[in-house]
Amino acid sequence: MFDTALFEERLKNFTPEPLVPVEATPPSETQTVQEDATTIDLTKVNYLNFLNNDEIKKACEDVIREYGVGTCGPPVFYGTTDLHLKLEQSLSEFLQMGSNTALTYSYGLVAISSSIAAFCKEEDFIFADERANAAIEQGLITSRSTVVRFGHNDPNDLRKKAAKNGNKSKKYLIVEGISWTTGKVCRLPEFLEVAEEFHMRIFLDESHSLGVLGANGRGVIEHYNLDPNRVDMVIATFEGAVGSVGGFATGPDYTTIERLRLSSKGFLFSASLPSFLVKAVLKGIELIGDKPKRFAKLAQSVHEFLQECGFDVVSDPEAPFKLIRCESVDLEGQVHHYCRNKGVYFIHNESGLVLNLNIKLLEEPERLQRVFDVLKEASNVFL
Amino acid sequence: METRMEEGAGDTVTELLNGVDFENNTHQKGISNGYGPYSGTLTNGYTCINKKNGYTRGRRQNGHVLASSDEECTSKTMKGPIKNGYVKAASEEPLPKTRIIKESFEPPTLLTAALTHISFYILMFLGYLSQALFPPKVAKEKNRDGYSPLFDKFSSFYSMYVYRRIRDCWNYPICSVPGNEVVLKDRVTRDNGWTFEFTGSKTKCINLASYNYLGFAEKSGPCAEAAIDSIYKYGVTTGGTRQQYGTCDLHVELEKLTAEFLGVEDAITFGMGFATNALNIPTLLSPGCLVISDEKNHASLILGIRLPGATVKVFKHNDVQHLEEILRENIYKGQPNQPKGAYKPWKKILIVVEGVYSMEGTIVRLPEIIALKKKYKAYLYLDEAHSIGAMGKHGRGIVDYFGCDPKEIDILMGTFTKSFGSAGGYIAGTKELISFLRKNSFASKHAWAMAPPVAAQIIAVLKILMGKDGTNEGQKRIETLARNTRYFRKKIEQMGIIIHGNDDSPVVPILVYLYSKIAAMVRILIQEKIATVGVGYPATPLMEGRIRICLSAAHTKEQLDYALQVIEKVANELGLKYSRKPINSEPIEYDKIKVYED
Repeated sequence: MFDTALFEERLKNFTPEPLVPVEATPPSETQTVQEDATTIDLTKVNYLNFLNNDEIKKACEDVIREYGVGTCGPPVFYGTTDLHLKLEQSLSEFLQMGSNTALTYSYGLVAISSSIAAFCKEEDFIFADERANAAIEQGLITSRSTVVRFGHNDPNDLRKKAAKNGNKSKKYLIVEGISWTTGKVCRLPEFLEVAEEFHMRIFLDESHSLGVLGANGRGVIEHYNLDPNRVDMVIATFEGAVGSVGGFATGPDYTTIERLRLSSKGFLFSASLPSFLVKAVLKGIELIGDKPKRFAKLAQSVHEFLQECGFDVVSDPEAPFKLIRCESVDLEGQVHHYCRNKGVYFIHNESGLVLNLNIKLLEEPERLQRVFDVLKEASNVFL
Repeated sequence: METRMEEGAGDTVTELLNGVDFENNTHQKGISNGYGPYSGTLTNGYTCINKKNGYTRGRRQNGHVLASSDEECTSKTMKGPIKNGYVKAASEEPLPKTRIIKESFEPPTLLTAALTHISFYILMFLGYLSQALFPPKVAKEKNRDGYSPLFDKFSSFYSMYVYRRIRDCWNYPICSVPGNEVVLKDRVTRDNGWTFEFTGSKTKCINLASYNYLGFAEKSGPCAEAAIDSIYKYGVTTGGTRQQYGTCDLHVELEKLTAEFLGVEDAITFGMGFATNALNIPTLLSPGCLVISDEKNHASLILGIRLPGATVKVFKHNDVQHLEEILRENIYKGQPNQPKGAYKPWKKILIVVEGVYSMEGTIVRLPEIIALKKKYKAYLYLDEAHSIGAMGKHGRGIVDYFGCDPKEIDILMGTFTKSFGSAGGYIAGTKELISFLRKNSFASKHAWAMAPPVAAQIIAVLKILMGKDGTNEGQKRIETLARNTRYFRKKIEQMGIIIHGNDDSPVVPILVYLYSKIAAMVRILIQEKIATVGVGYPATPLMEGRIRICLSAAHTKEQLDYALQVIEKVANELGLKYSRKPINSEPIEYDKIKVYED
């Protein structure tokens, strides 16, 4: 029974919360950095220096003059261009996946979370790293499956948890080639053993390892010389070494990846990646060449230097970005500020201090030396 | 076998909407059977509760339903109160300008509905037979013996034996800019859809499929040049997130221009429209909030609404009365599952609607919903993905179309993919809202900033639309789109084909009902060099397969005439003339259509 008088009273007394909570502190200014003779930019994710590559820029210009900027439609409705098809071919060939097919997404985060949500359903079990990145977390929430966490990069903990959980359901394992939050390289051979023992399907996130690890830059699978057919799906963003925007998903089995075309929401209900960004990736893959080998030397030398200075370096020697932690957040802020004043910019976020290396520092030894000098000074002042 | 249509079914409903104060309406029950033409005397609004087929008949000042088409005068001698889509008051009190909504949803005949059902059963039966006789031509998964299969049996069956037969209608690759004409890369299938081969030839088709409402998908011109310049100035991408050194001047300029264009305080932009909904709605909601969303909302909105754990209620598509009922019921009951049935009021109530619905072609009843939200103290989220740029006298979307105040809508959202020929999405509103999102939104913290060429294209288009480049190119395009829409819709109705949606929406769904007819029509149209989109289950209800046409300001009259000619031919061949409405065979002249003139 609907009591009108009571309703009117409740409506009168109804005071909704404000749409957004009132912020006590005003938002801070967004920071920008412009690289020049005295400023060294380690904030941008530009490991192989593709963002400054003129060949790629010219190729993008040519594509805009032929295809326009946007594709004006989802891939299902005339949004797939022949460039997209070529990219899908070339990605699966580059990663040596026998299926010859891949899916391109227009946003890196959505590539990862949508691909996971397309497979994992409510009754399944997902085994995820406790330090999984934000995009994977989104995918886990969207899929509503039961999530079992194991210790960071620890296959033995995974084995223990797998023995206890999810005996009758479908099981999935999600690992990252190079962890976004700590920079550690995944111990893939051991993970693969555990997964095969417990019949788990493996999704590998190679965003930061594509173009960096492995003799030809094919990622963590090549780094360990494993058979690509042992993994079910490789997902990654183009926002790492390749220097573009968007993401992709590929795998060794043709039917599996083709089914993603029908079930992945981020693919079906969104416009496709603009054509010039597709061309940037195509060109980037062509130009990788032997850069990973040279980059590995840079990564190694910076890692050793930072350890000598006495910093707590969390990331592995092969990682393309270096993650440093100090004893407190304030101390990190002070180091960050000090280096910025001296002209060396890097990122300070909730994981710590992140230095994104750039291969062109190998060709500019004075600038590399300057980075070393500033870091050495900072370590003397603060540590 | 003729089946009689229900009285009044399928009529075009013409209603007046007003940004009215619902509180001062006196509701009386009264049923009138015959009404004279609108007279000058104003009754203080009474609603007539006589519903048939989802709309009211009756006479009311606000939401006045016209009794006959005499009342809608489009002739020069103004007999009735309506001219060019607006009502002029004939009384002492000045009425605010009101907008007429003309929508039609003619239902199919019983025979058609029955045939559609039967066709599905036949398809399923044939599919099962094929599966038994011809096992699938796909390799088994390697290294995966003893694993449970990735996909369940029914969806595998559906995709391999039902969808596969007609899957050549979708995912067609193109090799040119998706302007008013598009070049398709021909492909054939020699084994009934299992694999495709490219023949190497290309076909140029009229593009009725891409979302290119204002025709800005161009490969040359000021927008393309601006995009190319920005590659060399700022790079292909900025290499970081918005909060961590990824912002450049273009982003700041874009947000300022967007806020100015929409008439609000501030705006924030993201690189993908889908993600704008899916990643930002969760920041605004929490358990204890109530979300009321339209039945036919887009998948990205549904994803964003489901994630945060708030309570969700769905109201019937565009049915303001049902929305009001849900509001009243839920404010009365408060939050559910309280201990001992205690009453706990909701933390906030959010109404989520879209401007133009892309599958139906309907336009949201914005003034009525704004009035409701004020009365019941709710917040309104308006997703203008398809309407920004395409509707309204100055292209500012549904808010402009109805003449409402943009500051009355709490959260304005839209995408740049459709009318701007680019990519990305935005959210606009008050400064507090945008500052909060800048700091706390998931996309702001973790997603890469919009690529500079994409932002440069949008800035160039916004400047053209606002007239800041010194020409009136923007206004011309907006008018051309409105004219094309009217012309095309009127002509198709004259053919006797059923189309859904509002008379002013540039999205035209042609109903074909049967699954097989979708495929047949798309294939024949491609042969005749017209590219269209066929949509069936699950994007639309099972029995309502349709061909969806998106008009554009870039289409010329000749292209539209050719398309109409071909559609008429196909309609005769396939039997698509389902409409039982009387046909008004007055010839329609393109140049004499009046749009947006007072």
